[in-house]
Amino acid sequence: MRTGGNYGNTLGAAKLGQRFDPLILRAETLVDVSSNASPNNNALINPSGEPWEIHEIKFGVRRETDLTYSRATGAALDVALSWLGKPVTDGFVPVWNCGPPQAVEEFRPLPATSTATLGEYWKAQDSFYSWKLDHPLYIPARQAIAVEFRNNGLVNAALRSSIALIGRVMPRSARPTKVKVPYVSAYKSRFYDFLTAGGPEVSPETTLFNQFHSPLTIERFIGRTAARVQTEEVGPDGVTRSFIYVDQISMLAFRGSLFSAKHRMTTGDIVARDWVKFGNLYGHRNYKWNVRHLLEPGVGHIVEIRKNAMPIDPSASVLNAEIINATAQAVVSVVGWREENVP
Amino acid sequence: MKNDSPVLLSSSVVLARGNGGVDVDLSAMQSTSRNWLRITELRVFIDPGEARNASDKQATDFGFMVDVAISVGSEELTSGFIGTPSHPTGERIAYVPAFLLGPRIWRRFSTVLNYNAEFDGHQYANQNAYVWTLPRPLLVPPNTPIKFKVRRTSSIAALDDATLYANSFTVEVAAAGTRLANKPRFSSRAIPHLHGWSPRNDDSLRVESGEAFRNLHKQTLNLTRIIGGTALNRGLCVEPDGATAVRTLVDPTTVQIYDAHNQDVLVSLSPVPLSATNPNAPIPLTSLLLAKTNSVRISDRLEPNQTYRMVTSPVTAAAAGRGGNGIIYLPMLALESFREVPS
Repeated sequence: MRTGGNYGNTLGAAKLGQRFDPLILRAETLVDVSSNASPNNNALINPSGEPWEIHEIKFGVRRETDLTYSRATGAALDVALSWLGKPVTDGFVPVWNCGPPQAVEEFRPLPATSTATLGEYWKAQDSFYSWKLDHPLYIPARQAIAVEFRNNGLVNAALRSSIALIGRVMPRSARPTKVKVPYVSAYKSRFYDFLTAGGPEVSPETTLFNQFHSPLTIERFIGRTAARVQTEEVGPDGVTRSFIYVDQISMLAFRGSLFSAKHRMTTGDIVARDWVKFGNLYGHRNYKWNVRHLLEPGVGHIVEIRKNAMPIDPSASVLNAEIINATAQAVVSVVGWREENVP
Repeated sequence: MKNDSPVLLSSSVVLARGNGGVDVDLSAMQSTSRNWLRITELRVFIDPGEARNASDKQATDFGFMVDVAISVGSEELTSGFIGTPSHPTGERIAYVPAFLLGPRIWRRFSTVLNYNAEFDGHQYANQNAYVWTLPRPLLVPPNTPIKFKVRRTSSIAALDDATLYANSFTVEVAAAGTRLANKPRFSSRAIPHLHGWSPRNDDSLRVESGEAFRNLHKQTLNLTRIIGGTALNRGLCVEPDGATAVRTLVDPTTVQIYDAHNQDVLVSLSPVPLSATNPNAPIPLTSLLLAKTNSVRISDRLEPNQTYRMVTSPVTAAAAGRGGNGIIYLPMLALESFREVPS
């Protein structure tokens, strides 16, 4: 039996192979533009009154308006999580920077032009993100992780935001002495014009760093690039609407070269000395780079971001006045865990 | 340094048509400290630059136009045979097509969207990334560069259309892993190896690998994966949308595989029962490889001087329904392995 904490002798019969009941709890809320909101956290308490372990956290996000035309993605929704008063996230982090993508959003291309053949790709869809925890997270009886969402205003619509916790119920006697508590911290670059060069900019030393008094094990980096576009579209009802969407830059042409980065540690150790394509640094596949390492207290990572110009071929350009104000952003997160005592 | 830390070495080169072999900056590809490195992934990013045109269809993969040779110290990590018109089986060289470095990243996009990437009213060329997740981590001593040599030669000129791809490509290579705080202890080092074979298959030509897959090393090769794909030249290949296209397919070629003793090839993970194929009943490449990854895991050993044999033969043009004259197939197959080299 693999557990997230050192349970000592408190598991009782479970040690002999007792099966545990699965448990899935979900809560959702509507978050207005540039506002915060918490779902009903009581819905995230195990109703059986027993402790349990969370193995996976799933996020869902959907535009509450303009459903016909667009969707929102994990760039537009931030989440702040805490476990028994201790941070799981470093304040608010984009929900798509917690775990590598597991859902269909990875395979959905950006909206291209407003041609009918492509239109079907950019109608309203829910976006889902899964964060499979590296170690199960123990939750004592009658306790819950605290959840708060923030609609960061990248899209001009309220967001229907949900969280689902997937795990298993533990014996009533189970009580670990130490728990491996997950942790995510993210750095967002500013938004740059899509076509022109920009930057560089450097992440603050206090963003991607170990804020705890104990070592922090980092399991992976996640590097996302998002595009934000204002556009107008004629809906099935014949009405032209203006809206803003933000989406993962996953098309073949953009993701790899839109940004370059350098990367070093606050200790002076160099991770990437020279400018390297964002995708080549933080991973092309699933936007992640699995590289386990230990951060001592106060030690962290520093990322330098540069926006590259996107050369265009005027002869091949098909200007589309309906897509305007395209900008792009790079987001880098560190995902890991540290050990905590159960309060 | 007290703890292991992430490290990514990178360098880029510009490859003109016919460039016969360019070394990347070796100083950028070695540890900047006196520490050992543990490399887990090798990444190649190809940007075809100005190769775009709104009316012409673009290649989906440029990895068959760019060959890569990788070595560390005196140990080669790649080798291969690339066929020519006069020598279809090819001669042994240090290169493999970048396509074979690993499972293709972006194969899941729909066909239409594969050709041209559009955004912000402009069209861009596709860019490709190839990631070789090493079957065993590669330990690199201090002051030892990871040598990448890239080329874009005329051996596959028929697939590198001069009118479409007259300009230079930018190729950025990277090695990702961990900088070790302490010197590792080992009695032998695992050296990953990728041996490719790209027979020149004109229409209906049957090509045997002959000695292409002979183990020329002193150590046993532990085979871990077969990777493959097929490139088509422009020819008269007619796509479903009626456009003349250059693209990469895995359908039109069949392949037979049998090992040195004509014994079964053992498969550790596969939905397809992969045994040695019947020499009289070749199977489509698509049946051999998992569509998701363009590869299949195997578990086999190739002793020194033993030979792994393969045969490729294109499906007849009529059977493939792809027209006839002028099409040149470039099937690509590679054996991924590692060998243990005494320290």
